[in-house]
Amino acid sequence: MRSLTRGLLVASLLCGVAGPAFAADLVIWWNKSYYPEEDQQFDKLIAEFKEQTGKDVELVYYTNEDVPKKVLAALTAGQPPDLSYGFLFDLQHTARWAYDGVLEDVSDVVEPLKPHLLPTALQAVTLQNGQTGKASIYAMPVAQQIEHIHVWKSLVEQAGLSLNDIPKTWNEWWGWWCETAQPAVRQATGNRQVYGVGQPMSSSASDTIFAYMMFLNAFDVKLVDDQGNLTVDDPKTRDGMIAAMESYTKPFIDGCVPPGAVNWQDSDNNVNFKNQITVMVPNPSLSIPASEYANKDRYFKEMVTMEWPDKPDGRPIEYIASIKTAVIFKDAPNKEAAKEFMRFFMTPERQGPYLENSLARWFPVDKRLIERPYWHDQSDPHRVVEVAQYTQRPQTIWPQVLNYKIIAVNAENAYGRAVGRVVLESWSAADAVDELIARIKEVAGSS
Amino acid sequence: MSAAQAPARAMPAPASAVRSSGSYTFRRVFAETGNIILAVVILVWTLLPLYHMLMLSVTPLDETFAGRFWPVTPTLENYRTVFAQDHFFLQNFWQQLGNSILVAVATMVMVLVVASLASFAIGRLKLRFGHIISNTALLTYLIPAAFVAVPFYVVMAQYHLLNTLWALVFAMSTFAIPYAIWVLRQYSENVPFELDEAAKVDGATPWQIFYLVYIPLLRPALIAIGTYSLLLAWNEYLYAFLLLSTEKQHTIPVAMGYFLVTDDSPWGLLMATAIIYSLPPAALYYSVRKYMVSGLTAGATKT
Amino acid sequence: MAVSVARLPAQQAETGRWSPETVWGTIFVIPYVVVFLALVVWPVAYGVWLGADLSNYRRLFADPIYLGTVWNTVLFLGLGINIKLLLALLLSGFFAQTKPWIRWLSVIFILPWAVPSIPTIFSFRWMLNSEWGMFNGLLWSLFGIEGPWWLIKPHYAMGSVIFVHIWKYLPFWTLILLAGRMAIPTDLYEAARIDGATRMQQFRFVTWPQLKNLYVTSLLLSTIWSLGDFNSVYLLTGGGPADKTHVLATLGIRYAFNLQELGTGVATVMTALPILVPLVILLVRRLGGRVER
Repeated sequence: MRSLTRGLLVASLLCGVAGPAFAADLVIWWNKSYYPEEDQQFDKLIAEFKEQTGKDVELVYYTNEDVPKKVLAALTAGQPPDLSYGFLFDLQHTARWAYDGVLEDVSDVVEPLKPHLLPTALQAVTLQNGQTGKASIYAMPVAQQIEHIHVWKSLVEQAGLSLNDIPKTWNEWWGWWCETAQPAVRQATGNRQVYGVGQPMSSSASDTIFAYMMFLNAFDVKLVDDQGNLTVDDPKTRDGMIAAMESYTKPFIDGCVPPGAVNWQDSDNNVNFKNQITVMVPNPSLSIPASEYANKDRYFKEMVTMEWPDKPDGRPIEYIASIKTAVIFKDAPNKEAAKEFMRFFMTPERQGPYLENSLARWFPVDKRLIERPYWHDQSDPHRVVEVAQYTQRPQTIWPQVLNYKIIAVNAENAYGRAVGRVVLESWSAADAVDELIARIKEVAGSS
Repeated sequence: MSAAQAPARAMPAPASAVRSSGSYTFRRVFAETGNIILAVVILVWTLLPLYHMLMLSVTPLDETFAGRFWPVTPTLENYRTVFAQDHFFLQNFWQQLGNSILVAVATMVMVLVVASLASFAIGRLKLRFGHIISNTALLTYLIPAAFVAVPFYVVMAQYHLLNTLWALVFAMSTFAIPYAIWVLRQYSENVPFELDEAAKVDGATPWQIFYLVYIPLLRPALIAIGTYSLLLAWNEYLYAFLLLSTEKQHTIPVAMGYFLVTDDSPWGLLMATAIIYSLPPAALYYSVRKYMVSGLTAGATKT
Repeated sequence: MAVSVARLPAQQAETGRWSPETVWGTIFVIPYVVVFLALVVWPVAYGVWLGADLSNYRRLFADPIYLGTVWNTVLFLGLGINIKLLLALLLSGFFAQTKPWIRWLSVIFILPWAVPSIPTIFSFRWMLNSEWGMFNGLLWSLFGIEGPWWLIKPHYAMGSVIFVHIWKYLPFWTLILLAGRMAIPTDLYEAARIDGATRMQQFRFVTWPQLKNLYVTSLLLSTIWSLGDFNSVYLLTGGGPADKTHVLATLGIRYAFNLQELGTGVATVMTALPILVPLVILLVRRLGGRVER
């Protein structure tokens, strides 16, 4: 019995540990970052804000996958936080929340920044509200990410090849990795299990969506028009989708993608590349070189970051900017405090250092931030390419910005499933695309 | 006859019962060879994945592990990193380990208290609606846990318990209590009623009977279900990952789950953490295993 | 003593026909009743309410992966549970031997059940990697065979999921059946041996009749629990490739939390009720009846 009483004592201690406090002047749910320095920088900003305003701020970090889950639960229970920032919001939530009318109109925060914001950033936060039937600014752009290409330069050179020999146009570029690089690297390394292309092929990785969108882009496919209407019934769209699907699946069918790619999670293209199973890999952030930052040889000499190839006809490809958004909830108790904080945060001297602590993983959306010296450090081979991609190449936005229903298509990764039809079940690209189109209409149709 | 009373007695192997004789010797060798082959299969089957974990845990983080059977330069560095909380993913390791312990212990306590009281009331005090309660408990026991995860999550939000360790304690207790009640009821059937009667004649209140007679006699079963609920809460992933969100509230399985959702992970650290985390339950299990067989399966073995 | 005697009539008057046993009994079950109402009845009722909207079911049935998921669930249960329990039945015979080294082996054998799922299943995920995993690596270096695409071909992937499920839960069921075997009176075997029964005959005429009930109960219990096995699928394949290895449990969670459609998530698991309810009724009869008798 003594052990029981002791147990009860422990249990009551537990009671003290638990129990949330919801009395702060401002409640912020922020995405936990990938690097400690980034969080530390944000902690500093919060401390500064507290000191400046005397407000009591409750800051909680949640991981990517958790922020939306917590917000969903909080909205269901009718007690949302005041302010929240999530890396996945723009891909899976922001436009839908805006449409459902749960977001606060933040035009007054964003308007003054308009001259400084990149056009894509402004476009990505101007969203339709289904309740009012009008578009307005419902989110605050914090950072952005686009697709990059990473290559083991060391492997390519070991195989007696040079990165300068790679053709620049789409089909030739992909073909080079498969037909030239792969056999040469295999021969040079004696490793039968190294693959030319690290194409994500699965329905469980968001990497697949990012990469597939670039392929659609290469073949000039826009899933929705400027008004947000689906274009998938247009034969031109269908043809483009089929061509993109053929191009996307070709390296796999030709044996140049690790078969396991059909099962990759978001970490697996990184793992396979770092283990030198793949020579080249597309990835929507600089996380791959960043993770090798401590290994100077690898970071500065062996790995390189490259741009995507030009479209099949030689025109430059547009990069699709995924704009990371912070939102304020309409039913939150301290909306004004949240706005005050965002005004405080979205200034070059505060937002700048925050983003610069992410090992160049997040790129600024405010032109003033891009001018800061950090982004012009020529000694960093990866950052130089990244900046060129963002500042010298055409940019575009994701389809869900224009039609919130596309979010559901992204969320179930219907693209990855169509890819699976082709590579696992030997469907023709046309059949897989027809099924994909039917699914897009089912999920995102205007019914 | 129940396992509860059955001493650790096994089915005698036929060969051992027999003395020398040509065909028997042959059969004995044959049986022994079969045993050994089977043992090797069982060992490989059980240990290969665990060996793989061990291998990864001693692989330096910057060494590639693909296609290898043993690292080139094995190291205990990953373990040191975990203990020293020397990595971003593990900066709250000790706190999270503490959370795991708290959740496991609190679940165990809650299960033991609630289940022993209820089983006593139903089985010994012959409460009028006892059978209804006992059947509803059985019903709960039969709900696949993953199936109620969604509503459970929303209900915890309504109770304002999300992201508290209580939420997880409650979830685990909910699933362990019915089983505990059932085991205790089965087990207590073997405890003679006369003891209760005698105590009653001596003027004992039901509380005293519970405390002085029932609990001591049920000790093996209590140890078994205590261990069961402790392990259940210790290893839980799905509910922990849904219900707890800030790092300071995480239990270790949730922290391990994070290695999966981020896009770049130090796998060696995951496996080192996992091995450290697996040792306490393994040790606990071995120290009480004789109760496990007799206690946990008391109900199941009745036919 | 005097106090309590003096108080007794009053107490009885207050509580009417309630005996002290009933009063105490009621107090004793209150914690459980509270837990049951707050943590079982309310969530389940809420879940039923969440899943009550018929449009959820329309959405679900229109999902091209739903039927495949149902089929996977059936396959997972049908193969996984039967193979697992058959193996458990055989192994329980092996572990019932009294030799000390077999005892020690059983201590190792229980490990998969005692160790947390995440790292072990993840470890499997890498071992089964077809390009550089340890399984295929062993096959290549020992026999020069190019190993199969374990997690890539949907059938193999489903097979791998079942394999991992068996690996994880086989020890537990072996333990249960072992306890069942230990409970069989030894004199039955002695009698059988005196009658000259072979080992096979002993199994057929002594062990099996004694173990049959337990085996069937285990089968039913395991079916229900495995219906809720989220980890084996989620951690090994994540439902892939191309969403071809989902089971109802993972599909429900995917709807609720990845697609943020709580209602459809609940509806997904609701569609298992036609299998679940009869099993539950059967089990409540089997298990509950025994206690009441």
